[in-house]
Amino acid sequence: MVDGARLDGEALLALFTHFASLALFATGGAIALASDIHRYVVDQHGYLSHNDFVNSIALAQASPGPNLLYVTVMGWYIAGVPGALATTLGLTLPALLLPMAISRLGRRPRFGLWIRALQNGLSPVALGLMGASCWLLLSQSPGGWKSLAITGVTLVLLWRTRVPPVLLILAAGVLGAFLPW
Amino acid sequence: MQSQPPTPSPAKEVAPEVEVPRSATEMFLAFTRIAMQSFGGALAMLEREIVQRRRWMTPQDFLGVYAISQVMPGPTGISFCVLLGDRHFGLRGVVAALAGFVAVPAVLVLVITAVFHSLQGLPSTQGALHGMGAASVGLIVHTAWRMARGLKGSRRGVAIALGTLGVVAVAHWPVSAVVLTFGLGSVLLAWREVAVSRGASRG
Repeated sequence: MVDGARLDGEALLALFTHFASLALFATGGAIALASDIHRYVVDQHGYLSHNDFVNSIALAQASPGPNLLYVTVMGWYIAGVPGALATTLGLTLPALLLPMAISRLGRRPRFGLWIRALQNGLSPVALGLMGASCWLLLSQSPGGWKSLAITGVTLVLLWRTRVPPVLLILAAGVLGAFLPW
Repeated sequence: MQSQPPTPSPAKEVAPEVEVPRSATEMFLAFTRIAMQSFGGALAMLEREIVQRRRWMTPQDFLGVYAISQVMPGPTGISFCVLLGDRHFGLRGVVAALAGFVAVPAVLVLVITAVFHSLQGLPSTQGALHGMGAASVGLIVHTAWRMARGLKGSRRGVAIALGTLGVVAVAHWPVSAVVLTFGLGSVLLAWREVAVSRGASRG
């Protein structure tokens, strides 16, 4: 099981609430929230080491499913299955409400304009958040130059070839198993 | 991928080339298929399954609903599940779509995590995770780069993106503060642009 990390009900509820408050801003993809989640679970509360934080992202990327599942793995590392439920439900439940309302409101004339403004306005913010997550992960790579080299080679292969991303991750895993870290 | 020949299904008052999901179970299975084939983002598989394979939406319909899902608060795939599930089976459809898209892969990823965790004592396990983590970062940077092309050099977009990056990466602002400042400001500026371009196209 997860070593020593057992949260009481109050802490679990706080975890759920924090992820629920983030959910509303997950427009740019769940990974864009990584730097804020890091601030909460690693820096502020010490629930997770930076190492386990990065491991969670790696495991979720290597498994099939939507990107947001990395918060499921983090929740599990923090507090087992109740932790996984708290983070996953936190990030998904609030996201149900507005689309439900929109789906029933139908299309109003001025509505399309507002959607365009929302989309055009929020996409650069989402991109900035994404950039901050990249910065966090690059500046704190656990393996130093070895990690950065693998990251760099992955990037070049993604730009230059059509290798499926999951194969790149699995290959990097095999390589990592044999490297002295 | 080749698309299946249209099977005779009770199409209601929809366009003839579109089919209707027969049951919430069928919706659950479709979204499970999508999730199980998605690595690093579900957009490509969503389009392939919903538009090409099952023909539940026309390409135009898909793009419209996908764009709305993107701006809805919350992860894009979740919003998409809600919009499509609710359209056909109401709350039951929403639950079916989400169970297939999130619950099934969540159980799978936890099983994989537990296996890795139980092998934690081996030095090669942590090494493998380091390697996979480093490659994941490459994937994430690549996605960010592809998203950046969407700004198309708009001065407002570049300024807002760089400002957000700065306050979050360097000054460690929480997301809520970013949305209330950069987010709100950016949407208001974008609203002005949209309204102006609409006025111009009319005059």
